[in-house]
Amino acid sequence: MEHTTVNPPRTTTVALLGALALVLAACTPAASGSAITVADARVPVPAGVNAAAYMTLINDGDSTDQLISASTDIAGAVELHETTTEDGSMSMQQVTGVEIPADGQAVLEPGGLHVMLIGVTEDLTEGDTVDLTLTFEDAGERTVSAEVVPLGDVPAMDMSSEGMEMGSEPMDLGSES
Amino acid sequence: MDETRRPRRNPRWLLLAVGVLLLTACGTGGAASSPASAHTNGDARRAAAQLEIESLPRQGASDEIWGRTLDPPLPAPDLQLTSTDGTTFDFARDADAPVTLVYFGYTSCPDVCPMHMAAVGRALDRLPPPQKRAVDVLFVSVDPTTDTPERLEEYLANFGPTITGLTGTPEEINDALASVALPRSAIGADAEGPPEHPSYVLGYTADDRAHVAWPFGTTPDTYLHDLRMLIDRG
Repeated sequence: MEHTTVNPPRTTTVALLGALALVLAACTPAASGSAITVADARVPVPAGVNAAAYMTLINDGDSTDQLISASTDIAGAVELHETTTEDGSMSMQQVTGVEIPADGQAVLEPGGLHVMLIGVTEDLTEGDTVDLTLTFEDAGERTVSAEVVPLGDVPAMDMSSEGMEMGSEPMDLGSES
Repeated sequence: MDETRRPRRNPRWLLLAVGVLLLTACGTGGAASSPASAHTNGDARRAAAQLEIESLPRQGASDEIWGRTLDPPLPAPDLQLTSTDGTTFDFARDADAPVTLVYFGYTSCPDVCPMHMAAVGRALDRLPPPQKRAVDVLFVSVDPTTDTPERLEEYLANFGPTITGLTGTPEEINDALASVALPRSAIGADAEGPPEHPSYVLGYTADDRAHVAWPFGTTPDTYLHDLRMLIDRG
C-alpha cells in the first residue's frame, strides 16, 4: 500500500532538483567561449495585436555571440526588430541578429532593439509571465520567463545622454545626469 | 593661412549645411510620394526642420517648458479625418481645447507608440479634472488601411478615455503630414513593413500653432509639467 501513497514533499524535491539541474545546465558556458545570461526580461502589457519583449543579454565569455532568433507559444510569430530615429522620424526594421560582444552586453529597450511578438494570442495582464526561447549563435537556446509589466514602465530617459548625438546644444551631452 | 579653414572650426555651419541637404532631400522625396507636399509652406518647413535634430527634454526651471520649444511654431495640420466615434474631425473646426496634443502612430506598433501614449495618459491622470478637460489628445493613424476606427478605439482605451483616434485614406493622412512638413513619414503606395512616423508628440495651443514637441522617451513628469504651463498660459 505504501507505494500507492503520493508523497507531495518528495515530488516537490524531485521537481526542485530537476529545475536546479536545468538551471545549472543553462548556466554552463558553451564550449565556444560564449556564456550568455539574460537579465530583466519583460513584456509591457500589449496595447494592440503586437507586443515587444525587452531584456539585457550579458556575455561573460571571451567571444562575441549573437541572438539570432526567438520563439514563444503566445504569439503567431517572433522577430528581432530595431527602432531607429532619423531626421525626427521613427521606423522599425527587422534585424537578422543582435550582437553581444565578448565580456559585454546588449540591451534591448524601448526605442531601440526589441523582440517583437507578432499577433499575441493570449490576453496578457500585469504580473503574468511569458516564456521566451532565445536562440544564440554559439550559446544555443535559453528559455527565459519574461514578466508582463505595466505599459509605459520604462527607465526614465529624460536627462540621459541617449539620442543626443545630434543635439544642437553640445553642452547638454551627457552633462545633465 | 590654410589652417584657418579646418573643418572643425565651424560645426554650426556644418549642421546648417546638413540641415539644408536634409530639407532638399525631404522636399523632393515628399513631392514624389505625395503631391500634397506642394501645400507645405516655408514656415512649416523651417519649423519641421527643428524636429530633425534629436534632443531629449531636460527637467529644468519650473517656469520653462521642458519639451522642445519650436520657434517658429508648426502650423495647424490640414486634417479632416474620421474619428473613433465615427464623426469627421476637422482640426480647424474641432481642435478647440486650450491644448491639443497630436501624435502620428499606428496600432500594431508595439514599441514607441504605446510608450508615448502611456506617458501622455499617465500625465493626464495626474491632472485635476478642470485641467484635464483643457487637453485633447489626437492619435492619427499612419497605417489607415489596417487601423479602422474600432481598432483604434480598442487600442487607445489602454491609455485612458481621453485620446481620440483619427484615420482616413492614405492620401488624407499624407496631406496631414505634408501640411506640417513631415513628408518623410508619408505613407508609400507600395508600403512594405511597418510605417515610418514622426518621433514627436506635438503640442498645439489655442492659437492653432504647435509651440512644443516632445520626443520619444519623454516622461510623464515632463508632460505633466509642460501641460500645466501650457494650460496656465491659456
